[in-house]
Amino acid sequence: MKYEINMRIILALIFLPCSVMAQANDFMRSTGKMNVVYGVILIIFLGLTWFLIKLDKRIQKLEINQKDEQ
Amino acid sequence: MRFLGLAWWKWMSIVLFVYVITRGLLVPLKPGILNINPSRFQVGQSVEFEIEGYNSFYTKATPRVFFKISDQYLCRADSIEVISETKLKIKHLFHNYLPVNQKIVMASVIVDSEVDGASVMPSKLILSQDSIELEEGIAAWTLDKPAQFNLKHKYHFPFRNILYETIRNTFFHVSLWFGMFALMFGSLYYSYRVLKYSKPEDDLRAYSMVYVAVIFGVLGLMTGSLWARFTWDTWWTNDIKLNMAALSMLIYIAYLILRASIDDPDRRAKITAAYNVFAVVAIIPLIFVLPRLTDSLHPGNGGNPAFGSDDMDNALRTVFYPSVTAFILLGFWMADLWKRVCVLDAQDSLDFD
Amino acid sequence: MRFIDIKVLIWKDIQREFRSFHQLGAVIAFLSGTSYLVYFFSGKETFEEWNLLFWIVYLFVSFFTGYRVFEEELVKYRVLTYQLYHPNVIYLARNIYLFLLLVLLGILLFLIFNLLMPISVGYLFDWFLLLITFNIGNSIILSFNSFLSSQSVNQTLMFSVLVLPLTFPLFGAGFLTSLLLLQGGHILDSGSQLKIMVGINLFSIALVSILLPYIWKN
Repeated sequence: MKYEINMRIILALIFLPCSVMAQANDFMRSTGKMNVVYGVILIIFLGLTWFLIKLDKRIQKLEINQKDEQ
Repeated sequence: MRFLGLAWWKWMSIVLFVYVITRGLLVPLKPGILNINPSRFQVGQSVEFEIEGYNSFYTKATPRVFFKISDQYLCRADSIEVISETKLKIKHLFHNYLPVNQKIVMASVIVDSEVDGASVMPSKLILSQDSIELEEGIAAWTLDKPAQFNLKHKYHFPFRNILYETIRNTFFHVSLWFGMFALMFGSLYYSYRVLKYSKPEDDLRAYSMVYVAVIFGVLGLMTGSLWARFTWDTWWTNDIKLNMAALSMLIYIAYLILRASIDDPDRRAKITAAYNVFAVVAIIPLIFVLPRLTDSLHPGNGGNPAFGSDDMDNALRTVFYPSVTAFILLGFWMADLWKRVCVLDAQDSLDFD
Repeated sequence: MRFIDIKVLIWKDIQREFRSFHQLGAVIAFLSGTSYLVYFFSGKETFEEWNLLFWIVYLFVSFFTGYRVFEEELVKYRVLTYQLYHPNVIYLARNIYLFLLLVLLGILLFLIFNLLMPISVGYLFDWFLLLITFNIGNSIILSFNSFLSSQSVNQTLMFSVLVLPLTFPLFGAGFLTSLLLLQGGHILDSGSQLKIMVGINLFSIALVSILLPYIWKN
């Protein structure tokens, strides 16, 4: 019960500035679902980062091989 | 042609990305109507309800509010009270009869102001009448002089119900798929070259394009899934386009597994190129044809042209086309990097032997 | 390419199959076993369920039959026969043999399903036509991928990974068409997916005939 009340206060604090939407009852749907767009951009960024890490690892392997030859 | 040591098209993708992210995120949506509460009324009595606007400036210019039934019958709201920038309170007495032959009818709401332009909430009000009196209803729902709606000429993205701000995902999610298709055709071309001229470099190019295409495809599925969760309330639907996307992912994963299971480089190049050409040419027509034959939630299906005038407007286009180009160039850039590392790796292992 | 060669090679394939019958026998045992399992565990069938089970069992049967098409080719068979016959002829003979085998197994499965779970199946000739159209594309895709996967290390697993996404649309079209047949429709009705199957068939015939010469080249 106590937990529930706390959650309500927190939610109210989060959504006070976003009184724009009546059905905005969670984080993602607040401010006209703008956070979904940020989520999509974040996913793409993480994907590109993953590619960078893979690339970095392969180059590292090449560098180690080169050092061994010298 | 190089500029500061980097090929011009790589610079172009960077510039386009900066443009897409700034323009795509900063341009506001056209003002619209979010919600109307309550929305179910019996005609013939005075009713009161609230209209919630989005991105609107109701205090700057008090808007006019109209109700509309079946394209031609309009009536103007009696009194409007502006509560805040995005909130209106309407008091209205609906006439005893509606201009239709039904007991219950859906009416659209139009909010029109000099600052925001006209915005429509289609089929939101549900009006019911006890008895039908067509003539009187038509008389009551016809304006004395035709309503002149304000057009808004400022640069805005369109406001769509349910989508709202996520219409900006067109620049990220949809362009990702376009990038994947470009890589797919690129790898198809290089696989064909492998079969024709059997150069090992072409094989590595085809492979790295498939590799990046898989990354793009997985990202496309994930972003689409997130978008679908907050638009259609489900992570995954049995939509034909999703199934076809999953299918092409399966093909490319099969391609990557096939590559891993053959040791001899020459034979590997030949066999994987043959599989790539076979799979892509046999499946791609299905991806483009099948969704147009069956109904789908995505635009461009059930006989509609993709990205026709209903789905895209000119403001979206000015960002969408650059973003497609940006993602295609980024994909080719990533594939180029991956291929160069693969070439070095191959040379390295040859030296080692 | 002479037709007499193809006839001889198909006959050889049949003889080979009967000399080591245990492989085909295993497939037939699997077929009847799964049919019986389906009969045993599913009580009262609707025709949707019947259809789904039929195509699932058929999917496995065609995979089990398909992967053996180019099996021992690599090591011994190649040296002996490739000098006598052109590789394309051998490939074509194998493909036709697989096609015949798949149609036969399909009819067998259909009979067993009808024996165990009698259901009004609609027009028999349309079923036959469906099996034929379906198996043209199916046998081409299966034998081509069997050939590709015979070059890799882990043939059986590789084969199913390669084939599954490719036969997916074909099986989907077959599934929907047979659903139409079970509802009492004809195969040439507007709702049937026959045109998609024919399209896939034509595409795969064209592709295989273009791609094969390139692979034989080395």
